[in-house]
Amino acid sequence: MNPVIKVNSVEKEYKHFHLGPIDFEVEKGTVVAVVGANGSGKSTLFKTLMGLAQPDNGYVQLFGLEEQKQVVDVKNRIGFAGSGLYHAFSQLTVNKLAEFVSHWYTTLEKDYYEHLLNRYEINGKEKFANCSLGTQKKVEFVLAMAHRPQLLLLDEPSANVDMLSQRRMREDLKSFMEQEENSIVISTYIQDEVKQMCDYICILDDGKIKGFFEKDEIRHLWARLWISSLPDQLKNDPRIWKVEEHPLQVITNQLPDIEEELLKCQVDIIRIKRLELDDIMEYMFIFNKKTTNTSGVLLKGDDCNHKNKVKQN
Amino acid sequence: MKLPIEVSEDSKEPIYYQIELQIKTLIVSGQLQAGAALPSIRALSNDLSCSVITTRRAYQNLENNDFIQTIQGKGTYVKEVDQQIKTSIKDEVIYTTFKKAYEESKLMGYTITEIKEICDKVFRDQK
Repeated sequence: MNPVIKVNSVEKEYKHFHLGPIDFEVEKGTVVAVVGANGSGKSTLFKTLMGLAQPDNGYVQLFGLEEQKQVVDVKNRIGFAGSGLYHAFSQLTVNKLAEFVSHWYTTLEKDYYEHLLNRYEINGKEKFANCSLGTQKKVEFVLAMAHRPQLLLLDEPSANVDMLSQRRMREDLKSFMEQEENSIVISTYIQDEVKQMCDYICILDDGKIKGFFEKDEIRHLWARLWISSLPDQLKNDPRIWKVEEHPLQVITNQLPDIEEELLKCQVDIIRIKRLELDDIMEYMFIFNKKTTNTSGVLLKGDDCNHKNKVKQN
Repeated sequence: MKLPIEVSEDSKEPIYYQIELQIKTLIVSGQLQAGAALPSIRALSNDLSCSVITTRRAYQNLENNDFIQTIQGKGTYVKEVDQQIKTSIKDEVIYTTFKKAYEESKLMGYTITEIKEICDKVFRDQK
């Protein structure tokens, strides 16, 4: 693997929040979605990746280069949007802001910038502070793209953004990824974005990574099975996450194994249906929070089992 | 360009295999001629909402089996496939299709004799 980002045992302590230790790598040419509830540490993670917040422990390596080395060069190759980066400069107009940003994004392409302003219907003469929340998000996105970076770090780029612009963002990210060397780390609440664009999903919960997996692998392994009966030996199996009655059905995160075992026990499998990505993530979160037993639902396992369920990076 | 393929989440076959088989089918049936350009790995991933890891694997398998070739910096193209291989792939596709129907019938409790009867009826009706 050729990592464009390597995060090694990164920790960051705040008064009421602790991030980490976090370890993961982003393979060049891939899109990683960071998902997690509000306050799970996504923005802190992005700030750390971008070098806006220095970790207390551990380090972040970008493009295989050592920290501090060629900082300007590294920054030029990154496009960052989010975390209220431009709030301190909100009295500037959008165009002035772009001019200002071009001091560190030295490769900013004027024509491309103009094209993006048009595309997202942004008035360059408007004061940033006077732009609506959605427009501010679009400005951040445009400024992240305009210098043609190789790595995009996007913290909720589409929050508050209108549908048409969201669609255009998705198109732009798609063409961005046509360059095989390019990579994206994106946090989002929009399921379609995760489903359509991403290769890997990183689940962040309470400042820690609870799972890092390839999208299709997880979709292949998780399923709902309607069965004729549940053999005793599988009743407390950690691979069975949930059992429901009428008609009898189970949810598993290890479909091929469970299927084989059921067939061995001569159980009829009436139907197999794969779960949607958002359902899978919900199960993982419910599991993390140890919320159990609503409406006669049976959840199995404990934290220890959980570690084996989600592929750790 | 968009390929007329779709993946089923509920299939037993992994997604990369479904893609692989469907592209093979398009090639052996002549819908994709030798020299035809295939979409980039990223474009196909987007169309099918799957990861590049999946599409890359499908393309790699197709490449290893001499169905397609990737020219660095240019793209991926369909190769000339000889008749013998075409025939065996066609067999494989038809076999898989019938197998699926058979499994479905078994789930519904049909016996082999009953399945054969339905099969015969299908053939008669097509005449």
